[in-house]
Amino acid sequence: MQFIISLSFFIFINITWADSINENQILIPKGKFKPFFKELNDQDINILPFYIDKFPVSLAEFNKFLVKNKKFQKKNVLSLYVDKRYLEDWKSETLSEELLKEEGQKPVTYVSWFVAKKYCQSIGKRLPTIAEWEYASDSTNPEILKQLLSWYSKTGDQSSQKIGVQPPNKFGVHDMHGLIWEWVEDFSSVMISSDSRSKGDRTDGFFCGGGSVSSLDSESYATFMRYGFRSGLRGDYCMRNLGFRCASDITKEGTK
Amino acid sequence: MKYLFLILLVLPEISKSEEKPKISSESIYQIDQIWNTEKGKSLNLKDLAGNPAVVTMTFTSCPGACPLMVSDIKSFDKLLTKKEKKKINYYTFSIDPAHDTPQALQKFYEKMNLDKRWVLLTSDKDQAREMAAILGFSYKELGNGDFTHSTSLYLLSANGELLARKERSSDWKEFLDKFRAQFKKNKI
Repeated sequence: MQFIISLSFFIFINITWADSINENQILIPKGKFKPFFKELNDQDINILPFYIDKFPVSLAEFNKFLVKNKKFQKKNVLSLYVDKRYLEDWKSETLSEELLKEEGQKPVTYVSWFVAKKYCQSIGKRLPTIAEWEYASDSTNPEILKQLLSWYSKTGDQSSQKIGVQPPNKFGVHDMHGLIWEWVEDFSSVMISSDSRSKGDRTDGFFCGGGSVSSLDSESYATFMRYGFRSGLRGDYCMRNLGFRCASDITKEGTK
Repeated sequence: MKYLFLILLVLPEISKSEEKPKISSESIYQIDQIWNTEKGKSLNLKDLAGNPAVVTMTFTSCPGACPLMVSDIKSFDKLLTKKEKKKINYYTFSIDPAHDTPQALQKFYEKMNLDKRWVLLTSDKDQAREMAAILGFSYKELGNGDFTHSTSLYLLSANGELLARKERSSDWKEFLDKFRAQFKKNKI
């Protein structure tokens, strides 16, 4: 009996310890990521180890943020930060307990890049970079690629599903694909500028459907779609199926 | 305490320019960001209000495009009358805060032979990304201290509203017209 108690105590300690360090984040080990588009120095990008949220940010979590940070509520938010569709599906400034019980575990969408960034900062986190996101999403895995193509070809609204229903990927991260699209810190670095298209910029092929010529992996049609989607975004855009999750650096001590 | 004293010294100097126009809800200057100038002064975006301004984003170790953007802006300045010249500012925000220390900015300032209407600003990666997203400026770090980036210039009103955007291929007409409209409105 004593053994059981001490064992359960041990497990309990372990769980709380892990949680307090990771707070629902997964440690992504270091690795190499093959950039999708050729650059001048088109070598693999070294990914340093980092933490990424296990799930996209939920309505419940985002609601908590709005309760604490009134300046990001619909009526107060800077107009530079969001377009007219910010939290379009919210009927009030914050969500009722009742609604949260029902829908709290759905991913928050209709949020802009600016607000997503502020959300992550408010809890000491940040948005993942494109390279980090792509790496953690295991998107070069052929199995995942296959699922992706079928997901991208669906027009239905997957954002109405709950987070964490799909099985995790090889890192233990859920819903990187198949639920919503997600903001990344450097989304605007995909495209050089709308203007540079007409001037023989090397991102040319990207827009002319020649993307598969310049992309390193011509199989990755799904990846191409993600990059294409990102390049069309603006920081204040709010869209029905666009949400986010946060990432964190690893400090010298090996924890956050 | 010593630092507090320094801050107090710096603040009145920056804010001494004429009374500030009201910051509107469309103003870039209402974004809460702190940037450092080439003189090593730390300022809030609000402190940049006062005159209409041409702004862009650069990095000082930039081999080609950035000096070109600066000389572009100078060619705009040449189109202005003497009176108009006194009522415009030129600001650059660094996309390379890791290398663009105030000292590096000061070097660039001297190399490009800039005058006191220019303020070169640097901050951190996070704020640079946010500024870029506000302006609609794209850039990408290539990893060897080099960047690919837009070459857009932006005209801001005296209180920081985005009035016009200019690409290298277009002429100065829109900038001139909109600047002059501001100039008249403020009956400067």
